[in-house]
Amino acid sequence: MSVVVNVKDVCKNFALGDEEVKVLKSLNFEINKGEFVSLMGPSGSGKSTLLYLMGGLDEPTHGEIRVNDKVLKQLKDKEESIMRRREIGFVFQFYNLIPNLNVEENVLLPILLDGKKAKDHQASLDEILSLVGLSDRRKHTPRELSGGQQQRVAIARALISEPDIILADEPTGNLDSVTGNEIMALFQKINREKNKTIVQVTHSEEAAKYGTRIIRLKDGRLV
Amino acid sequence: MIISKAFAEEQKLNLGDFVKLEFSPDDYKYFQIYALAENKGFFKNTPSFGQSEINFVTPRETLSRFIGTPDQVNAIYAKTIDDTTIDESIEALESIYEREQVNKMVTKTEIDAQIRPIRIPFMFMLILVVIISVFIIYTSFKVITLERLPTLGTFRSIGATKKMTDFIMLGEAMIYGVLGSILGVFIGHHLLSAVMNIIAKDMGTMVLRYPKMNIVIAIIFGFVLSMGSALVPIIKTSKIPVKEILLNIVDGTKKKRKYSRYIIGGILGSLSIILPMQLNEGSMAAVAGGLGIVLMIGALVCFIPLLTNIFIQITEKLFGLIFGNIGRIAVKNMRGNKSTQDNIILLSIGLASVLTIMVIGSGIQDETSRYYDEQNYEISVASSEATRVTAQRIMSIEEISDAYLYQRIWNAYNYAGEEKPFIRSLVGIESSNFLEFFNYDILNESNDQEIIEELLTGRKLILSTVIRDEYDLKVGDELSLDTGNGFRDYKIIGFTDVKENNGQFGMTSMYNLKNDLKRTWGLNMAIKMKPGMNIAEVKEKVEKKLEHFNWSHVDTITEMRQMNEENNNQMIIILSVFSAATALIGSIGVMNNFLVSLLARRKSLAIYASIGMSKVQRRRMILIESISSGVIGALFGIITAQLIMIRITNLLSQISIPLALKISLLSGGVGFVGSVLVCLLSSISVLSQLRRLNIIKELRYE
Repeated sequence: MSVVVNVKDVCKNFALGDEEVKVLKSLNFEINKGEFVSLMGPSGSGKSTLLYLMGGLDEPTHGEIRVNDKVLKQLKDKEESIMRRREIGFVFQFYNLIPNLNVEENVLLPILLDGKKAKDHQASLDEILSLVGLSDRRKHTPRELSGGQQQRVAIARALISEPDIILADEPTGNLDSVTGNEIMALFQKINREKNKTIVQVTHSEEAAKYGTRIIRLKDGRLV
Repeated sequence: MIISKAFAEEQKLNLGDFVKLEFSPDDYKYFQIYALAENKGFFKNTPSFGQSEINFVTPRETLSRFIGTPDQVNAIYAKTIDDTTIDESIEALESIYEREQVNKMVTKTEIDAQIRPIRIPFMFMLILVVIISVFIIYTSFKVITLERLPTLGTFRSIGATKKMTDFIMLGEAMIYGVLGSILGVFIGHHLLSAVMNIIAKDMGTMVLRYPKMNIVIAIIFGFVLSMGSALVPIIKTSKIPVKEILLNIVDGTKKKRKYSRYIIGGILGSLSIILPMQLNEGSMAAVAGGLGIVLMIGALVCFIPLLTNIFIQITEKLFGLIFGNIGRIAVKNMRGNKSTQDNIILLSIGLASVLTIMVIGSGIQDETSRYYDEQNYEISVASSEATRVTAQRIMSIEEISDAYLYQRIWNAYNYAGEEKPFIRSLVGIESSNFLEFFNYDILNESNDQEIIEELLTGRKLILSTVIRDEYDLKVGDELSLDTGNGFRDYKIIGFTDVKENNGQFGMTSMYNLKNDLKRTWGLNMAIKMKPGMNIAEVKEKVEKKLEHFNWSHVDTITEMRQMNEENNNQMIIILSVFSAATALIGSIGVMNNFLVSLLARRKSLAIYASIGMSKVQRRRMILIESISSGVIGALFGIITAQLIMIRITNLLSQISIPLALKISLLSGGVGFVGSVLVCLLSSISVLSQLRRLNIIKELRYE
């Protein structure tokens, strides 16, 4: 199996006033294509920080992260952005949809950012909306959707560019247990049927069960 | 006698010179110039073209002897102990001296007449600046309340009541109101001093003086303005349930009262049309007109979000074609975005205000200047002693090709028992070639020339459209006019839209002037020169022919235009300062709104970054949005300004100030580019703030 994410000797420090807090301490691990990994650990253990480093939204203080054989640290802003459009899909706890765009427009955003024509991607839009069960909600704005539906839109947006990796930060953290299970089942389906690599941050052991591997962190180290 | 410096300069008089004054056609007296006074107060009137009253001072005994009432006085100036007792003193004097007239030295009517041309533009400027200020304070307070929300939530969670948190916010608004007003008075005083210094260069010494009470009124006004504008955001915040504040689930994007906004807009719009139509007489007309403009702006504010969305929907494809996908995203972002709408509203009101102020100023200037530009003569002569012999002598000057003789009388006739004169400036013509010199348009179906010829037969009048509208007259009406020498019947044969003397203008034959109004002296001439002649030399030659006369004026048409422009200059300066201040206030508001918009959009921008929008794309998107806001705001601003112009033109015509106000292509263009530039500069400041955007923080916390 090919390695899609390679975390090598990664440290991350944050300045807190005059103090420097070491959030991640020399992490090393790999994630293979098609894995569904759950990053778990207590609050403040550095799970989300690690996820955002893997998505290129932040840089490690020390060490390097390779995604699809590209060293994120070496990429320029434009290259990194292109990577987030084409190779990585993000799903957040609070959905993070653009409030004044409807479902279709939100989902198609990565396509538009890539300079492609929306009409050329109608077929994949239809397929993804059908996959997440929102075919009948395509003209609704986020405020007209429930939390679970909004998270489905976020998942559809993460899938529209056919990325290799999906990074999800506590995707069920803001949902009730039934809806949370539905979302996790959807992630599992995407992982299995579309062979996408999924990395999720979660506190929930139940959510982690949907994955194929658990990476546990405590005080910035792997346990 | 003591005369003003301005009069002495214009008449080339020096100390010790003798001036011949005419008391009646056959009675002349010589006065020696003893002193020259500053051009202010009693001596403020300058004898520029068109002004007929000049004050001078001479010993009372001399004057009373000359007018045949030795040892008598016909006027007494009384000084009261302080300003507050004037009215009481007048009442007391009137009861004692029943047969005498007791008036204020300068009556309110006189002051009103003096300041009337600038009072109206100032009233509108004040209204517009207040609207802009209200909007800026309102949007600023929206941000303040948004930022205070977590603190207010904490207060509420530990037991503070809604009233308590409201009081905290109101207290903050109070402090801003008081501090802002005090600062405003301080800046206002110095700004006024600076403006007066500029004006004083033309007008002589000026002292900035206003009642201390005005400071108190200004501070109270500023305070009320601040509190009133802040009240709505505070009330809105107070309605948010404490649970929503604490859980940070306040949804600022809720669609509330979607249609009520348009219903209110419709009511305001209808009232803005109906009110001025219903209340179109007397002092109520100005109030209703001003209110109409405020209501119209209110209606536009209600409809601008809808209009913006329609505009965006129409131009969405165009944006895509010009700016690509980022343009499409930008235009989608603007759709229904509150900050964008606020910005467009502010730009519209701001630009409309600046354009209105500028157009009123330049409109007055252009209108008066155009009158002179359109005339077909080069030199004007007015003399109280010149005769036809003098005219012949002037016409014998080699460089002169032709001249037209006429007479002008100020304040002629009384009509319908009114105290005020029927025609303020009455021109008496003698020959039918009047239109070869004066480019006056006679608004009749028949030929202009035929009407001029008819004017020379019998008691006929051509009146201005202003007088026509004031008295509701029509062609063919016969009026019985009090000539001062008995009543005579005059027939109206035409109307003209000449703006001379604010449209208080009329024409008749010189014959009627002599016979009915007993005007037997003085002469006016309009002189045409041969092509290629030096106008200054010709003017000098004409002046030489008139040098032995006491009161005569020779002005070139360019000089007359310049004099007129100089008279308007102080108002133009004040209007320019006001429009600059409005532009500055508006720009600060736009900048403030852009920052507000950034605060509200931090999360959206972080989301875009997370799904692959590069920094360059984000910057491009913000720039496209700001330029588009500028374009839309400018377009609405120009339309709003044009609507205000129509209203003001109607209002001014109701109070006998004929002024066709139009936005020129240049001023519209400058306003348009200015608005876009303001947005562009504001967005650059936003872009610099954007560097500090913490994407992860924005994404992780709701």
